[in-house]
Amino acid sequence: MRYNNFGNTGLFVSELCLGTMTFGGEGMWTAIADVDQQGATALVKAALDAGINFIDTANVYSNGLSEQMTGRALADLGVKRSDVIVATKALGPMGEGVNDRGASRVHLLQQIDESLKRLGLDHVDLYQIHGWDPATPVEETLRALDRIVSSGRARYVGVSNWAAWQIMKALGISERLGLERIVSLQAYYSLAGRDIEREIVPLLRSEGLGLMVWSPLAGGFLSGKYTRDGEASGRRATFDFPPVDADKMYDVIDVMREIAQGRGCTVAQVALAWLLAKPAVSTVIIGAKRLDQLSDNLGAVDIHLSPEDSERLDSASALVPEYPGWMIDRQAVYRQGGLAGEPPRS
Amino acid sequence: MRYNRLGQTGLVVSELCLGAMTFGNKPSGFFQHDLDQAGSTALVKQALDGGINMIDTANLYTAGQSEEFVGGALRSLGVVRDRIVIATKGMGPMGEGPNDAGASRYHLLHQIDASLARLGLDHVDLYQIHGWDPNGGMEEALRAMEDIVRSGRARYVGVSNWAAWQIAKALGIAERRGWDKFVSLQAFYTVANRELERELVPMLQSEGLGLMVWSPLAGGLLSGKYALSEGDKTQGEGRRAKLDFPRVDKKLAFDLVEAMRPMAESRSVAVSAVAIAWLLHQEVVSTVIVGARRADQLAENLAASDVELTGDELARLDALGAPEPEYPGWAIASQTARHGFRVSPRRKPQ
Repeated sequence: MRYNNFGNTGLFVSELCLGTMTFGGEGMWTAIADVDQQGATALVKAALDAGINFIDTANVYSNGLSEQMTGRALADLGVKRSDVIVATKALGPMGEGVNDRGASRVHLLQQIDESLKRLGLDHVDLYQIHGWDPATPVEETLRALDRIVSSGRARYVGVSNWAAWQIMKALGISERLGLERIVSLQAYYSLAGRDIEREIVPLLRSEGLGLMVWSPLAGGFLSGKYTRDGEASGRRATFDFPPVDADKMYDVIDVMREIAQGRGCTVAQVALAWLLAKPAVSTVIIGAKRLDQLSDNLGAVDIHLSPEDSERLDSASALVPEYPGWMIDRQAVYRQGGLAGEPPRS
Repeated sequence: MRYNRLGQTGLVVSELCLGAMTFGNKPSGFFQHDLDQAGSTALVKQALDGGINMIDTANLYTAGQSEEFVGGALRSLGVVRDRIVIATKGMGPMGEGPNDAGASRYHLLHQIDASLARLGLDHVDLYQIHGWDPNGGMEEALRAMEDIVRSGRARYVGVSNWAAWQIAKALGIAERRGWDKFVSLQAFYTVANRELERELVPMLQSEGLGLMVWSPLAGGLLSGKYALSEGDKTQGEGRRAKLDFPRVDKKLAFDLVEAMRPMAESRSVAVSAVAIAWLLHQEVVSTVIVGARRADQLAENLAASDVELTGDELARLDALGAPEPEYPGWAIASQTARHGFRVSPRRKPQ
């Protein structure tokens, strides 16, 4: 296991992060979450034993049960607070009331306390806004997050599933008002979905934010269970998310399978190793229902793709260029002449 | 001709803007030019007579000659300065030297004066950074633009071909420093290429920037002059035959031409007028830049201003050209729907 600097912070996080969305199982969550406390504790133990120091949860996962089970696992295992980085999130609905959701000051200041109570902790290390709230001014959200940090309830703040311009707008407001700045983005990124390379990755690199990747196996599509000819029985059979261009992806999976066979590893490990080699990625969140799935994923840290392998995967899964990306690349040529140093970053 | 506010400014611009990229007759490397001063003046007159009040040029168009011809046309037509909105741009290469391009303070302050000299004006109304400068410091560029406004050489500042996060960054810096903000983006948008809708349109609408559309006909592809032949090569006489730019899905473009053809025929206008009219129906659009080499082309484009598309027609074109959802667009849309932010539909948040 290697450890990456978390964006521009002084914090180091393991390159794999344990995702706890599979813990619990209630309501709409039963399709993806059915791990009981004993199983959850075993998964946390296996992850920590393998060198993972980062656990990600959210208030909405199994309506709070995931946080509870995560806290219980840490307590039962006697994990020292300074040996684990705990991240959680808020935004999704936690009740039926009009203010039981969103990124308002009212909801966030209430939810951080609820999350801490469920986790049995006095602080989390990263508190994330789980998505974009079209109804709340960004400034209100940032002021609430700043208060959460200054009151000691979180060490850093981040966001998930925001557009690049929304993140950049928030950074500008924080800079102007001297508020805690967003240090990380949690986003979907995989060989089956490289959309964030258009705007988000350039933003993260320019502004020094960390990237936590969710759904690195595209909801199981890249697990190796799915093939051009066969129906698989995995999660996607019941919960087809995130969206995948299956025809294009079967070609990518063919390449992944060849590379996996050549190295004696699994297709899923190739998918994870490809992400681990991307400079923008701070950590890849892996979720599992069973120990064997987790240990397969953990094996990815020992897979080092050759430049040729990376190139084959990159070109098979490449995005079709879009505006303004191709125009920015084209105009960057204007300034390539006469420079002795590295070519300009596009 | 109708008129729109340029973003949230008090400036009102015609919904069509005359693009002067075709003006000039000396070689400039981009594409073939054969329009002299007289021809350029005639197009300016035709545009103004049609109700257009905005002309867009750039320092690098025909290596400065486009600006000269715009200025020459305004003088020979005796256009009163407060009847016309003049926009130009700096950033593109104007020479071989290492500082002859870019958005450095050094280059921009040279170029605004050079543009004003070529135009024969003491100020332009909109000065735009023509594209992203990967070498430049953003704060430096914005401070230079601020100085250009404060010194009276431009009334507003805008930008072209930047990514949404880059513009959001600039707006944050300007807000923090108390500088004039970008009021507009000039970008590529057409019924056949709506990639702009992923990040840029939501940002423009949230932050109140105007949108000036370039290449509304996708480099002539939607003019109706081209046919799709085998091997995805375009056949025809116009510009596309020589310069395959900007990027567009040609199959989609030709499907759209076929869908627009009956809409055009029933109104006795060109297909291009329908393509431009689709843009004029988009709320985010402030003005659509139309370029032409001949009077008949410009007349075809001006006709777009009178085309009202029906709800059915718009829906048909919208469905054909909708870009495939991408992350984070689909995540934001589904979270917003699922979390059901309970806001009265009468008071929908942005």
